[in-house]
Amino acid sequence: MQSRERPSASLANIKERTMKLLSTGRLFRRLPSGKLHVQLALLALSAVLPMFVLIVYTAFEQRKLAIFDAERQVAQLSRIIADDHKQLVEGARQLLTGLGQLPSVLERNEGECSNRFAAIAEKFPNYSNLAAAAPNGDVFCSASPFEGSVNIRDRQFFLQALSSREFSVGEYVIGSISQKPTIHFAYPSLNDAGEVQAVVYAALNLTWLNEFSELPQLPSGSTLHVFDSFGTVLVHYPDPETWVGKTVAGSPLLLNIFSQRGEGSAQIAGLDGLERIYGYARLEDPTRTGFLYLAVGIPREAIVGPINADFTRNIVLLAIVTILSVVGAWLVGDVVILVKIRALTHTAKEMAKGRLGARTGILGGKGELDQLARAFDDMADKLETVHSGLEKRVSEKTWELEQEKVRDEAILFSLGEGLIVTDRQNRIVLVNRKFETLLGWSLNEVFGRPVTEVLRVADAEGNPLKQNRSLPRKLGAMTNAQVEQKNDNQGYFYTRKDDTRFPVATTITPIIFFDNEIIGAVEVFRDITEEKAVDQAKSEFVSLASHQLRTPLSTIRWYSEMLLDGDAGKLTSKQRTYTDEIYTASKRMIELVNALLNVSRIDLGTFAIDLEETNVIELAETVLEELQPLILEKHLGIDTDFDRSLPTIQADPKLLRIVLQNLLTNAVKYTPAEGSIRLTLERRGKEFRIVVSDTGYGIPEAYQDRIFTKLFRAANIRDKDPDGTGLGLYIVHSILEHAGGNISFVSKEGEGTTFTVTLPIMGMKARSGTKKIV
Amino acid sequence: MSEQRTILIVEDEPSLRDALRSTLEQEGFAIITAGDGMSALETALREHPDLILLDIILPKMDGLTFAKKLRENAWGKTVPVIILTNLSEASEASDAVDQAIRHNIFDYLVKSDWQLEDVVSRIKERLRKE
Repeated sequence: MQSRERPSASLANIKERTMKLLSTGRLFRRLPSGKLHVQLALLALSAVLPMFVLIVYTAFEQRKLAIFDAERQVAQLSRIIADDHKQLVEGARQLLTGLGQLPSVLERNEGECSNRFAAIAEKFPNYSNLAAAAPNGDVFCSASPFEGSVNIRDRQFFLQALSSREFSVGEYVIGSISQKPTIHFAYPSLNDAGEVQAVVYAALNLTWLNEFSELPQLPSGSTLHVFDSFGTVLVHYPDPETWVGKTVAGSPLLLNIFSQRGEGSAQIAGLDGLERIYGYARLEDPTRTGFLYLAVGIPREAIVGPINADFTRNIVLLAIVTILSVVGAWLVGDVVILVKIRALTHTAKEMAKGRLGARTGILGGKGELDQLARAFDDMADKLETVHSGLEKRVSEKTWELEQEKVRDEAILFSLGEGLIVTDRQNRIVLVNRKFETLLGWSLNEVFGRPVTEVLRVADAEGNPLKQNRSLPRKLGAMTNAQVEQKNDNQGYFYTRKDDTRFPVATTITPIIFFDNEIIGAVEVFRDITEEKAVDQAKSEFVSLASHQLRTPLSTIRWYSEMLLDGDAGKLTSKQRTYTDEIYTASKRMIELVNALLNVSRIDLGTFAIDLEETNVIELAETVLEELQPLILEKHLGIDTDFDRSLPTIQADPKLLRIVLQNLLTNAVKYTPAEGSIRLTLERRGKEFRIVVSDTGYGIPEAYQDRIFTKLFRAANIRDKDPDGTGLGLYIVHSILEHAGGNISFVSKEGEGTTFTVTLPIMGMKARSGTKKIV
Repeated sequence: MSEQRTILIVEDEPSLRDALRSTLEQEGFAIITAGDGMSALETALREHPDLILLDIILPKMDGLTFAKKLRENAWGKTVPVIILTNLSEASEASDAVDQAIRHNIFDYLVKSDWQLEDVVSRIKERLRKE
């Protein structure tokens, strides 16, 4: 039932759960292949890692190298500029020395001097002007034309040249004529007497420095500065307007320059705050008043930038490669490995479910997984073959067993007696055809029903009878035969489906499983209508025989008795002897008939045991009384030992009477005159005992094991009492056997015999039968 | 023998009937006989014998039916009856004994087992008790 409901329920369930998993992302973690995916991705990542390290390292090295190069470059540039400057200064000294010797200068020939100067100045474009002034400072000669009078006596280079009478260099100034940053050189022109006739000077235009700042190898953003030893900006390219003339002594750049004494290089923030790589150089100060410092700076970014860009690009590329690798690993894992592993897993699961036809379906490929899959498929093939072989054998064997079972069932079904098999709860599990014909119920109608409901037991008049069908759970100490219930001839009737009845004989036997376990019962029963009819016929025959045989025997007996009594006149001695023979023979005949009738009943097993409260002592006294004539005749001593406290017992008095009668008659008959007989009635534990002992002839040992046999008579008494039938002890033994009692004896020939009969104190076993003895 | 006692013998077998009659007459009893149950009942109710010797298997009416009818009669209720039969066979005999007792008949003698002499003494004993 449950399994039938499952698919629809689980489908909805799976859907719901999948949605839930997808929404929480748990599905992927749940997948058994997830681990492999992650492992493959990690593998791809680890392959990329060295490249990443390499890129970082390379970038770092490149940057270090570039910076080193840049530092060297600016340092070199600084030195070149410093050298150029030195040469310029030297050139200026030589030029001015030469100019100071010119006669037109010494003679202060204005016109000639100016012309001469102008001509020279053309050859030195770096000089913005060449001029000469009188010692009072009045300019009298100039390469560049000028108007009015120009006096330079307040200019430092002029004063210094006058006072030192040597070549002097002025400070860098913005030229008052050229309006360009210039540096003035002055040289005193001396006559032969050594008197200063004039001072020649040259204004060197510092714009040449621009050439350097515009060098193509210098990237944009590069700067060139010249500072004096007070930190005043003398030259600043680019953007001179903003910077020239300002003092920046406290800036990091100046401090660095000072600390390196104007030589070397450094990475440091420039005046505008931008980080640069600077190269420093000291410019020769011809006046020896201090140094000038040159600094050339290349923006750090210009050096490092491309490297950083490369680095970034490489990293980005690496990242892309990495992502591709990871995705690739994931996909490849899926396609190359997981698909196969899933195929394997799925197939294995299918096979575990019993679908042996399942295969991975992976045919090509030389990978290990492909080989594994093929090996798996091969194994599955073999398994399927073996299994199908096994199945075939099982089905063959099953068929055989089924055949056997069918045959067994057919045997049971065809059994000539009604058959009912019940389980522990007394429910019917099997009945056969005879059952169906006898009772009119079909198996289908009674299967599973309590047997007590189906089998309605009644007596001859149709009164319901209760049938005890309780079964012990275990056989225990009992034997199967002891548990067996036999109901022969007990007046049981089974009621058919149509409420008619038939007399029945049944045997209910427990079904013993594994030696001791009782798992149910099997009952066979048969319709004993015919048997009862036969019994009835026999019974009638016996009845007839008893009556018809006895009537003539009675006649013979009585008439011979009358003859002997002299009713028909006195008999002669011979007549008396003959009549006596007739009389005795008739008596024997009568005894024989009686005994034979009893025996026939015992042999038929049809005699009944009707229980009632029986006083055994009274019964014994009656029997003794009956035997009194013979006892007196033989002068036998009768000794009785009756336990007067004996209770009445449940017994059939007629049968018990037969027992007592036979034992006591035998004792009387087979004890010689003057002998004694002792009868004891007593209780011994759970037993009631009748002990008859005599001082009779005894039973020879050779015959002792045969005395209960039918028609047996011991040789030693045959002569003494030819009247015996040989049936008495047989009858006694049979009665006791059926009544649950026992008989035993002790005897010695010539000394006597003791018979001991025991009966359960609880009484005889009841037994209903069709016949009664007596 | 101051007073002669009358005995009714109900017996269908003539030889046995005669043996009984002869023996009992010899003992000084007045004997009347009947060969079947019907005539036996008639005779008994008419003659009022002192004792009835009764066979069971009889023509026309069996001995037990006779006993039943006899006991229905005011006189017949108390008359002593001794059953003398050859019917000792199991069921029927046992039934017969039971029925006899129900009819106040306590002597059930099987002919073949009894000597005539003993039958006579039983009859005498029975009559003595009356």
